[in-house]
Amino acid sequence: MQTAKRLFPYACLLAVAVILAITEVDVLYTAQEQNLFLHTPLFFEQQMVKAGGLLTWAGCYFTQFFYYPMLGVGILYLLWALLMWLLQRTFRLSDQWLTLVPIACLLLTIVTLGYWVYYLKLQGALFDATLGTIIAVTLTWVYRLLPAKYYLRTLYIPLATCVAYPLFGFYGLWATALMALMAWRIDSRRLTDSLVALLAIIAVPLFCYHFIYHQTNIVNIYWTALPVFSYGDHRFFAYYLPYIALVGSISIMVCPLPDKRWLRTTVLAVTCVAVGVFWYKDGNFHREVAMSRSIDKQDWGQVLRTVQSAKGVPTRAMCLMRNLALFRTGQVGDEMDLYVNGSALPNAPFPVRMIHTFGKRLYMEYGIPNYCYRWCIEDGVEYGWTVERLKLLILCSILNSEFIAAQRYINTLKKTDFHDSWARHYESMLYHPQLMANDPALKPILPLLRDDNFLTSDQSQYEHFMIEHILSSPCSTREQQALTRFTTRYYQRNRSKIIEP
Amino acid sequence: MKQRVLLLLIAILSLMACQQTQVPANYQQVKKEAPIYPDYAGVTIPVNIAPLNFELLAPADEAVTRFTVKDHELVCGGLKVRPDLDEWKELTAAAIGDSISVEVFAEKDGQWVRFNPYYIYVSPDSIDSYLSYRMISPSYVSYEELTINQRCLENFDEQVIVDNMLCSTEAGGQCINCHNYQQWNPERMQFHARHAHGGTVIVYDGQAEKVDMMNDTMLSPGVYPAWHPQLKLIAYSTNKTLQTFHTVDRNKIEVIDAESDLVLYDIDHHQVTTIEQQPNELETFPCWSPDGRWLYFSSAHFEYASDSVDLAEITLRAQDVKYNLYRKPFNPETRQFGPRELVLAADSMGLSATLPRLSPDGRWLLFSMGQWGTFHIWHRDADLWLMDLSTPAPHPIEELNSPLAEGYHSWSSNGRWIVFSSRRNDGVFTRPFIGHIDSEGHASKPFELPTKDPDRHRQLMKSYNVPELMRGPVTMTPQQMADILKGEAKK
Repeated sequence: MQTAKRLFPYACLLAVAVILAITEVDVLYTAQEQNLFLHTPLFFEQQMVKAGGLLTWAGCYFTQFFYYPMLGVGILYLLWALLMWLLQRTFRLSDQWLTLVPIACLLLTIVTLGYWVYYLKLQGALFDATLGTIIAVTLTWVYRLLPAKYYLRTLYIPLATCVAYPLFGFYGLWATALMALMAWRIDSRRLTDSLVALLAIIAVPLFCYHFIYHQTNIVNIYWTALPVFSYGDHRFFAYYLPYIALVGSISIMVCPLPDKRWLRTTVLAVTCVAVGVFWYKDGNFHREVAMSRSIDKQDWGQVLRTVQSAKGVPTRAMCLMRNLALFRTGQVGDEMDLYVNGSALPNAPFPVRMIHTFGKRLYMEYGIPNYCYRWCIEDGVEYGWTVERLKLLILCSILNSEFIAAQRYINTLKKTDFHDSWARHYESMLYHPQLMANDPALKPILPLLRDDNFLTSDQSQYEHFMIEHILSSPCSTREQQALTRFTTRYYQRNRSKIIEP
Repeated sequence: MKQRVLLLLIAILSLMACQQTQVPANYQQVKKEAPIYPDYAGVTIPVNIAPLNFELLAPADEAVTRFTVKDHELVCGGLKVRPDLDEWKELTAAAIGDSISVEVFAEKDGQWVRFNPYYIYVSPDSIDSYLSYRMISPSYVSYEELTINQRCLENFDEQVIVDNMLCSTEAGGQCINCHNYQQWNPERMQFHARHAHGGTVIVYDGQAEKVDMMNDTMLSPGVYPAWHPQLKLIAYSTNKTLQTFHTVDRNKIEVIDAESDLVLYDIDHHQVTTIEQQPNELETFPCWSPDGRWLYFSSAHFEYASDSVDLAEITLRAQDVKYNLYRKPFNPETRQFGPRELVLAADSMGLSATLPRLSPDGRWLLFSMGQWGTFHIWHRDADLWLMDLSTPAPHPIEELNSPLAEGYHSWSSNGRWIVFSSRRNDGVFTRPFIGHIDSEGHASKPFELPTKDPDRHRQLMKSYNVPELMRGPVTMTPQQMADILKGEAKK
């Protein structure tokens, strides 16, 4: 009975993990496509140029397991279970249930992201908070386990900070702060340890700024390894709430909490409600990522089924992906009228430009690999290199017969754990270009490629540019003629729906 | 018992450490050179260069490489060949004016083969000890992490001079660019920052300041710089630049100057004066002669159909923009320029010549030649050309060029080496190559900047931009540079 009671919170955690794996399967898959982990010393070296580098390196490593979303969630579950166990040991909690609160916060750091999946610059963001919290709690546990004699605990504080800050960034400092709080609970040289901790928190990042790192502005040195939710001049503080709640919920565990049933019930109820309310459930976003994944798999029927299941006004991205599916399946007549059109704005507090999300792929699918390539490079520079961008760069280079460049990107992708076979498949085309004609992804694009070159720019207005480009087609192939007819017909009927934010 | 185990372990480790790589006694001869990266076969190197680490690209389980010069021998094991620095120095010192023979033996499935040896020629001409460059993703419009780095060419030490992330916030960052030195002197340096914390940082013998040289007569703040070789003057182009994109062409991007002029900046007096501002002329890429009495530059004649600058028109007619090379006399006493003189009419050859760079002896004019336009690093047809100013007959430097773009180039202080960026490896990422040019203008096969891990340049998703040689390292730290950048710019 006692064992069952002890295991019940882990069972609840398992239920949450299952819900996550079922409802966010496409988002989690997309997250790994927007991630990159390479088994190279250079990749490791490039992560380690900032405080928190080891954490982001590990975050990238674990994020790649979302290639199989269930596997990624399984790892998350194990890490969360480990954290619950650590929390109970470190803070000697009488009640395991309360450890579910920080887990809920960690869950929210993932399920509130929405379109940030495409815009976050922090590498490995889906695992960073979980791993960082485990580290912070573990370091605090070690502090507690150390004997009080010989100032061992006091000496441990700056030592741990000096090691943990460079490797884990903010989470290393958080560990130091937890130790300072813990000193008061375990009655271990309270004032001395707290002052040493405060000094370490202030001094170690400053030392690192001046003598070790050169990648972080001094105003950000205390927040390294945390995501930055900003777009232009705007910062979106609401997205930090799970992080604030996470820090708060664990810091408060240092104090012995009253073992009151009503308190436990209230806290857990509030936690459940918060998770339910803040979980990002936007239907259009979820359909967009599902449709994009179906396009990856060339499953055009699934693209159409997904868009048909939408309730309400679709986004332009949904309409454009649907149109591609209609064109690819030869439904270029009145079938387009069976689907709802619209231009619902993506549900995000910042302007989501299609070019940063699905537009790149569509450029390639409609036979403008140069513009797909361009935006892969632009986004790679600004938001970091990802599996998706590398794959598109490879496909565009092959379509352009730039085989040396393609080999370059293929060599990089071959250093990943899950995309090696994809890379090898396309590597064969570098030596046998005729294979392109039979490749399901490239075959339909080849007749859409054009010879007439223009020097121009899309000004980030993806759809306008695309229409103009298609309508200026020389129609030198049957497929180009069909695409021009289809595009003309569609926009004659839906002229008012093409405004991109 | 424990002590015995420990002693045994120490003995095994000592034996392993002492075990030297052996050249295989039995092998089959292969009648071709070993496929290696970087391609160092037949290159000419300065005596003071870092080891030319390379990797074997042939399928093999093990490899042994033997470097031989006269009675000196250096043997390395492994698919990645990384000679010890001290041993390499001894080897190159013994090979001055001679060549190093490199034999590669490879083992596959228990069978050793020996490839034909290749040779590395060691010039008695040394090279300046430091190289600086901007590390930049192969970006078009966006930028994020940018650094100006310096690398000791005599070993593999690399440091950051400037890192824009030290000044960047979520709200905005800055593009840092166009680092340049007076006479290869690292104590006299300048670079620009655009957007947030914008301005030009000028470092002169320990004094550093940020200046804003923009005034109403200028199209932009100073862009492409040229330090006067003796005076505290810097010539700049000022450019109204736009970027457009090819829908089909493999060059992908075109960087166009819709307008450009030349100005002179006086460091002591913070004064800007106009050098060239002719209507219908796009003047850019200034470069001083070593005596400081001539300013060379590129200029294209372009007449807009309408009276005003029309970005759409120059975009449509971008292939009509062809740059010639000119020069203007300069009197250092009066600081006055004379009229322009034509040096090379590239347009009459149907070509476009940019980035003139004079050798330190003033005899050789090195420049970049492409079919059209100004920004040749994005032009696959762009090559390096050389012109003997005593007998003007420009010619492409076949030994240095490749089918892909050769771009930014600069001379060493002794005029025997040039460093230039090239996209020859993959068409995407620029890498610095160093080539020898003898006193008669003959070039040798260039070598790619050696790296500690020879595979580094095949993995690195960044380009080396604007390689410039220096006599020593810049001593200011990135944090000091960031503090200057964050400060107010002097008008």
